[in-house]
Amino acid sequence: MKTIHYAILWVALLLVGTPALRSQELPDVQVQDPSSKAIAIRSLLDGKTPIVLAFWSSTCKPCMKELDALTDNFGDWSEEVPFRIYAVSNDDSRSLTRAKAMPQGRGWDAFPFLYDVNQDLCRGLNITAIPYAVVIDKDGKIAYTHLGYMPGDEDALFEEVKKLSSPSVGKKKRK
Amino acid sequence: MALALGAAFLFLGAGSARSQGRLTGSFDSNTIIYTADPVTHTEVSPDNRYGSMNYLKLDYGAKDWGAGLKMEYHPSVIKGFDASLKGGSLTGIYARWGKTLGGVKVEVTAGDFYEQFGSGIALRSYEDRELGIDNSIGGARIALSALEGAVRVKVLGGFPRYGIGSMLNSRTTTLLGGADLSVRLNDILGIDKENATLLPLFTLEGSFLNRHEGTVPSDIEALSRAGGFSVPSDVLSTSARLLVEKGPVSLSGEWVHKGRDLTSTHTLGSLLDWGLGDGDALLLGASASIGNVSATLTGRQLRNMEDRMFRTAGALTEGNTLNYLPSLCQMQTYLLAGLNPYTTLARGERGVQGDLYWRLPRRSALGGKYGMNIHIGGSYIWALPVALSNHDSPAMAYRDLNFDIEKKWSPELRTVLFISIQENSPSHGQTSRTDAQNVFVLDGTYKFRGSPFSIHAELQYLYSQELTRDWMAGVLEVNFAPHWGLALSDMYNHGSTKVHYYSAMCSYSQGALRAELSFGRNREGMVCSGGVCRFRPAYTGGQLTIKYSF
Repeated sequence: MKTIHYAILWVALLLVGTPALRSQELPDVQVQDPSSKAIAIRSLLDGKTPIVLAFWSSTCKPCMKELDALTDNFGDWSEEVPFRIYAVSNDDSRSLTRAKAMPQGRGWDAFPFLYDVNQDLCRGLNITAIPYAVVIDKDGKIAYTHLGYMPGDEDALFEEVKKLSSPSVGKKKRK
Repeated sequence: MALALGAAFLFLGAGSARSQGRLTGSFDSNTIIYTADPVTHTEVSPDNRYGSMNYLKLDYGAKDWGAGLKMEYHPSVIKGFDASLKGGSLTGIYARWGKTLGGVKVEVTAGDFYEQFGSGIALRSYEDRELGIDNSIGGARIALSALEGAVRVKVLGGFPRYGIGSMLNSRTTTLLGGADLSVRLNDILGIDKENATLLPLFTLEGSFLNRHEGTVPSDIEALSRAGGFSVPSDVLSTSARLLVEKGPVSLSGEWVHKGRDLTSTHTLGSLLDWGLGDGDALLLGASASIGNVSATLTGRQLRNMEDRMFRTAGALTEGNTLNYLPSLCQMQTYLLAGLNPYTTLARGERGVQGDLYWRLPRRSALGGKYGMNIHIGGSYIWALPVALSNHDSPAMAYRDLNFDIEKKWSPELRTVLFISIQENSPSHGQTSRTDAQNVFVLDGTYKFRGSPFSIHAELQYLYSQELTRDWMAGVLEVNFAPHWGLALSDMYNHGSTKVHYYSAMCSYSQGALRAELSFGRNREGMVCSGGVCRFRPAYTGGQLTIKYSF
């Protein structure tokens, strides 16, 4: 009987969660820039261009493949559609020095890096696994999320960004 | 009770659509159906036919406040996990309030929360579902941040969680109390803006944590009587940290002292040899980036730094932990390179680890048309002598040297050559015997142009004259981005046991949902996550994993 109760509870909670995600916004938390200065994540919103947050860590191999792919493509993409990418590391203070050193040594020079040292942003978005990519519209509404990475996922991500740049974007609901 | 909570969140969820609140959450499920396998001598009995561990987390946030809950249901614990996790319960609930008052950002949390002081040597309350660790603290936490984050203070008190009890009753009787302070000196002294180009940035931090155990378990009491010592009810840990940053160069240091605590006097933690002792730790780090090259160097020494949430003379489980002592060496991601991972010797260890990353740019002589990445990393770790060691000077416990070169040949093809040379002392320096292994990997990914179709393949070889001698492995993945992935892999020990460890996996991703269905044979060994490892017995079976965030 207890098992049935829990099953009912979880199904109910999942049903609750589904409509909620359509109205999700970027949480009001702080991350760090490479010089350890606190930055309010919502201050990145400029009201003009969408942004992509690509969550990674220095010990996550698929994350590095995703950052390689984003670095390779961002130059061409941003000429087609104006948008910004921020790579957000969730390395804690033990591996932070490595995470700060890696972008230069890996040639990830196409977009800025941020550091979610206390995992406040990860918790705010309920991210439990990485790689995790989030597309956010110009007003801070979350338009698309994707867990995991396989070659070609970056193209799907860019398609979502392009949707936000179309004139009808404001009327579109999230997939 | 469970249904009442479900109804409460149903109400909250409906409310979120009307108000400005945000409801987020995640669902995580991992189920394995075990099958008997005569090759690995694994059997299935009615009480261990399957393992299933399931997690649901919900967070609701409005302008100044938030609340959340976490539920777990583990009808049968997956092999290798702490048996105390069996059952189902509401394992966490919290309410949070935050506001900026007079330039000071105040955040108050009541209920269950996670916290980390520094690098986690003194305290790390966290969750790792790969390891079965969730030592969230049930109590209260106040965090203050002033001068745009230049001064941050955290104060906490509460009881850490262990296993699954009845509803909201998974707490130990151990009471934690502590505080952490972080100060960016340049901002405080007002020298940042005026001399930003001349002076480095200094950040000074420190913390203390008291662990109070009011009652001494009978097995510990018997040990202390036999040893002629009295176990203290309070253990105080203090730490000091300094971070110095100047452009692309950073230096960091952390020193931790742990007060007198029950500790094993044997390197390997024999259950028979106990005593009292202080603990201390020193962690030093340096990193620098120049042009296309970046380097990091980390050194660490530990002495008696194992910190459990409650004392026991019985088996020590991964879940019974209060701090974070990951192995210093590189975390290996290839199958054969991670076959025999090194685990930290909390009772006495000294080590150094370094990495060098070099990006050869596009259209350079060595980088070619698309550029190339080179990484060299290595570590050397010594076991420090403790009271009952048979060596009186540091002895080699582990060393490795890793080299990988990643080359993009065309928009479609990217390859990686990886070599890892590893040597491990199975007795942690107690004897002169070491096990050496050399691992070679060729990794290639081909992405068809203008198509979501890609192929990834790995060929791996492990050469060793010790343990189970030589291994070979192959991985083949076929991906149809962004939804479908298929993978086949096989590890074959042709040097000794002649056993194949095969796996077939299909995954589906849709936004923040990812589901994986796999079947395979898994060898006995250590499973590591974030540098911390747990033992996993051999098993053969099918596995379904679902992860979903919303």
